[in-house]
Amino acid sequence: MIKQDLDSIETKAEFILREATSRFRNVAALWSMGKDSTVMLAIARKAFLGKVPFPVIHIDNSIDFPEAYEFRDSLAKKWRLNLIVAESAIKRNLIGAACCGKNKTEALKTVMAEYGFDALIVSIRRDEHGIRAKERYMSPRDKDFKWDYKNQPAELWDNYTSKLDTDGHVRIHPLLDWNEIDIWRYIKRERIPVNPLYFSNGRQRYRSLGCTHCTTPLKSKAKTVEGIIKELEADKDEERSGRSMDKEREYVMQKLRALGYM
Amino acid sequence: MEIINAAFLGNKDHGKSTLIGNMLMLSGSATQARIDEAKKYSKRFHKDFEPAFILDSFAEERREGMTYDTTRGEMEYRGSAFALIDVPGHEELIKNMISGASYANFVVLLVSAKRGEGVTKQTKRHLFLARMMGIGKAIVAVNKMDTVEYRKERFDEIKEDIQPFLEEIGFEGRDLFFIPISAYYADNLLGHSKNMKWYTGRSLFEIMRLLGGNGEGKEAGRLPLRIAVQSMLNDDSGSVVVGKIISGKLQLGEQIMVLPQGLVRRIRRVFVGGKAVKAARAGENVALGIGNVETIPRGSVIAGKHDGLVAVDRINALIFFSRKPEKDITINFCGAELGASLAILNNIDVTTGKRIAGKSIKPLGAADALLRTSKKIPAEPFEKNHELGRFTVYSKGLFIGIGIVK
Repeated sequence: MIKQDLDSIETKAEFILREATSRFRNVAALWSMGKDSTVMLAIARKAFLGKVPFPVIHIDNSIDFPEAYEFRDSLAKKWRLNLIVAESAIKRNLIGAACCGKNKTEALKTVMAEYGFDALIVSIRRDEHGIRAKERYMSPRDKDFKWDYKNQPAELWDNYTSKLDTDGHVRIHPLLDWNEIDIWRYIKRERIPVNPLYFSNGRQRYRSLGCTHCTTPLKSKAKTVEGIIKELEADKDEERSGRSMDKEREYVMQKLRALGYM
Repeated sequence: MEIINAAFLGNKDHGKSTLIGNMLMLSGSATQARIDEAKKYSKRFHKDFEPAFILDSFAEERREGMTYDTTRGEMEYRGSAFALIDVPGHEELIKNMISGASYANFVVLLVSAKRGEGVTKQTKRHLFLARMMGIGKAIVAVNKMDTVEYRKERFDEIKEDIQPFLEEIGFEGRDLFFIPISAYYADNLLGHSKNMKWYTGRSLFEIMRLLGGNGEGKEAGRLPLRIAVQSMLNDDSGSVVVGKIISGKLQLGEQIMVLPQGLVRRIRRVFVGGKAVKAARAGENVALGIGNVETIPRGSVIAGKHDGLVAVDRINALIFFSRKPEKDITINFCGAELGASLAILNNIDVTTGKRIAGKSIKPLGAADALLRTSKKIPAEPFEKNHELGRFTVYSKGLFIGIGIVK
């Protein structure tokens, strides 16, 4: 896993965040309380002189880990976040991709419509998945949240797209260039608080956090940020290997993303 | 660690994705999960292992054996790191090719040695676009040497076929390399192939390391100060102008000019990364306190007070058209969109690099044009400052091309 120059990927993320707030009328960010979206918020605080200028949305399906809720409330207070909790009516009979597709995406649609957001910051990275690696920094979605992946807009130099079909929104991906190990190195450098579930209880830890239904931990002894970085330096596995939805059906990520999943 | 961006260009089916896939695998940079997935789908489509499937992740791409959109894979090998940018070779997907190639420090151009393939219009078009976007270093990788029994004559034939064009558009000397490879059988990729003992030059990886070594970008710091304004922000002590330093450096107390407004001010406060600082340099995002000002719109540029940057509304430009525009044209310059009109002076044959008569716009072709913008903009010749010397062109909201200021 390549360790990139943190200053240069931070600068680019900061630039993209400033482009987002400058180009769009009504911007929001998704905050899963995971490491990536928390890093994104830390960068936003730097880019906007100490305060995150846009609301942050937590899609709450009420089956997140208890640790996640505690973490959310304490950081929201400390960083003075404008937190919107969007409740998704979890259907108990759904699991995996069907659950993510229906519950998370539907809840997001409702909250986007309610507040009239025209841009949504999502902290995905290319190294997470081959489909995410095909994304643009700024990517339009139509009113039904569909991703027209066969006809993505040109995106070159610093000229990100801002064209919008009526009623759609644009996804903003400031962390697209980052690798998993960069996230952890940045967390260390900037002393960013993270959800305690990422650290080992002595036997195992969560590498990627979804909700309690679909996330499984991996064997690990890493109890600190440094420990995680060391572990990743030697690693060959994919980060989302503990996320069941990525595996169950063919092209499930492509199908989910085409329909509006993050 | 610094990552050098290399874009892999060339005609469709000449082996771009296969080459990148194999480079990622051989260097140990691809994850096991990606390799396993590529294996699974290779089997599905009754192929021997297809390294392109490491990059080509869409169902359609694997089914049709064709790259639809640009992506990149990161490769780390022997202390060097590269982002290998894959682009589609198909003519209709040129906007995706331009998107990927625009980030490149240098290009690897693939030409298939297979009989009946060779140098095509699209091969040359890709090179023309790369050169137009300011890329000056190229590796011509003559691929599929296995299909011609690894014969030197075929390599020489292709080299002779493309060399005059490369020179015509300005790729030459120490910044131009030729190498025979087989992307699929991994000949001459990281090491030296036993199948082509007649080739005694560097391996592809070694050439990439050589070309990537002298980083560009650093020279931006030596150019005059230019800041592209993104927006304004308010903090406790008033408003600040927010933007990125695209070249040069600035210091607290310095006098600056905002264009096209012609406003002269002194820099009273500088913020980088949310902290007050005394100086800032190219590449950094800044917030500047310059006293009380009206809103400064996007597309404005801040320069040193005395360095002679002026705003213009008539621009001589070289434009590449990915498609034919409708009447209404807009350009995106430095983040701002503005109306424009075009008068074509002459066409340029992108397969020879030569100027030819003609005043109409040809899709997938280039032209010299006089651009009139609806407002004055602080544009500069591309040669002097890349970021103030280039723009994207739209018509009815659709991307139709790119332009550079002459």
